[in-house]
Amino acid sequence: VITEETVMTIFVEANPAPDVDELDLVQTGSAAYLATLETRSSEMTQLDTRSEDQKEKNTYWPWLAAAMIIVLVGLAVVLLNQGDDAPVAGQTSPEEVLADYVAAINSGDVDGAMEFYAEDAVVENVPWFDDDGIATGTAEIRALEEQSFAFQGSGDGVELIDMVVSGNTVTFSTRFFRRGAEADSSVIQGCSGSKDDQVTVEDGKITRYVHGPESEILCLDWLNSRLAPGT
Amino acid sequence: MTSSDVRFAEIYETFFRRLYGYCLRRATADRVDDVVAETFLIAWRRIDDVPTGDEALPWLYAVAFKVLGNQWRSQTRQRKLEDKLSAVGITPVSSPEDFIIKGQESGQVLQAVSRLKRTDQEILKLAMWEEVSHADITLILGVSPGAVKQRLYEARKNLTREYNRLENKRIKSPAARKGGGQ
Repeated sequence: VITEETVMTIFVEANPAPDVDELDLVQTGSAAYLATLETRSSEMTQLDTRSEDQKEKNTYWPWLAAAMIIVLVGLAVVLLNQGDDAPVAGQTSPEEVLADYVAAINSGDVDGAMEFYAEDAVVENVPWFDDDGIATGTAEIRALEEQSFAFQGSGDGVELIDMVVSGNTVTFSTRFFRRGAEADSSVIQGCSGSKDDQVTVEDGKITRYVHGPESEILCLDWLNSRLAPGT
Repeated sequence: MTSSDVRFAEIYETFFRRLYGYCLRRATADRVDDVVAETFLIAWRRIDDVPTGDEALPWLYAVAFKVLGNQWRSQTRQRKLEDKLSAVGITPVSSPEDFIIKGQESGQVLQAVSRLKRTDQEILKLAMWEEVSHADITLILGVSPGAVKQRLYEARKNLTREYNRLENKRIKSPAARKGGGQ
């Protein structure tokens, strides 16, 4: 077996261009190079080749377009708000989806939890699951969830903390707790929670769930007990 | 010269060689010039978006990575077409060598790296070939610093595993057993 260190050395030596200063390149001036770009790229036709005068005459168009977009967006917002206040189907926010998913977990409902995953969802960085630590598709994710449920006792729960939403992605941490126990003594079988996990939600479904790099550390005792011989 | 021309000249003069090296390490030999040109073309069009100073280089790498992505996708389509042609007895003209292979070990490690996920390949190359910092890798690939560290760790492990798999296959091949392992 060739060690990682040796493979890395071979990889560094396989660099096809280790020293760019030694490359046999004839570098033209920037103006000449730009001229070359014009002739070689078909996309160059999209470049603005108008004279400065022409540009000056047409500068109001972008502003007009921007103003029209603002008016249309405003109109759409007003129209949407005129209807009932019930959430529109498929418009559930990512943090709401995550909260509902965690509620399903806390109620011990595997089927309910699985409802929140898209068919082709991926759960990443779960080294205790299999070799590559990735569960792909609902069948694999169900197997992963069932393992988690088996680990999580009926009296245990998960609490969401530090949620940060960016677009359709939620970054968050969790704290595991035993119901009725003191909050600070919340370590279940050597696992205290997770840190900097991320879920991506599209059309109300979780499409990607990445466990944070440090989540493994929070569950190290549990992982060690699982990996110990005879367990 | 306009201010845009001056900015472009600075970027071109400072980073041309390094960008060329980056593309040379990833593109097929017949496409390197095109990828470099496409990247500089985008830089020219978006000259106001290009960061100043050394931060322009990760920006250029990020653009080149996307340009290469388009190239790889069209190559994949071409490969599928070639497979279909082969199936009906038509052999396509072979493409030029992808890389300058320095020996059996280099060829094998490049083959092993090509089996990794594309982002993992890129993280390894950026870290080991371009010697780019983790902070700059986050800018180039748009992933979190924690994810870079984690994926680099996994990519190294996976590359070692793939390399050893190829090595075992090579040792067990009839040619290697006869002593003609190359």
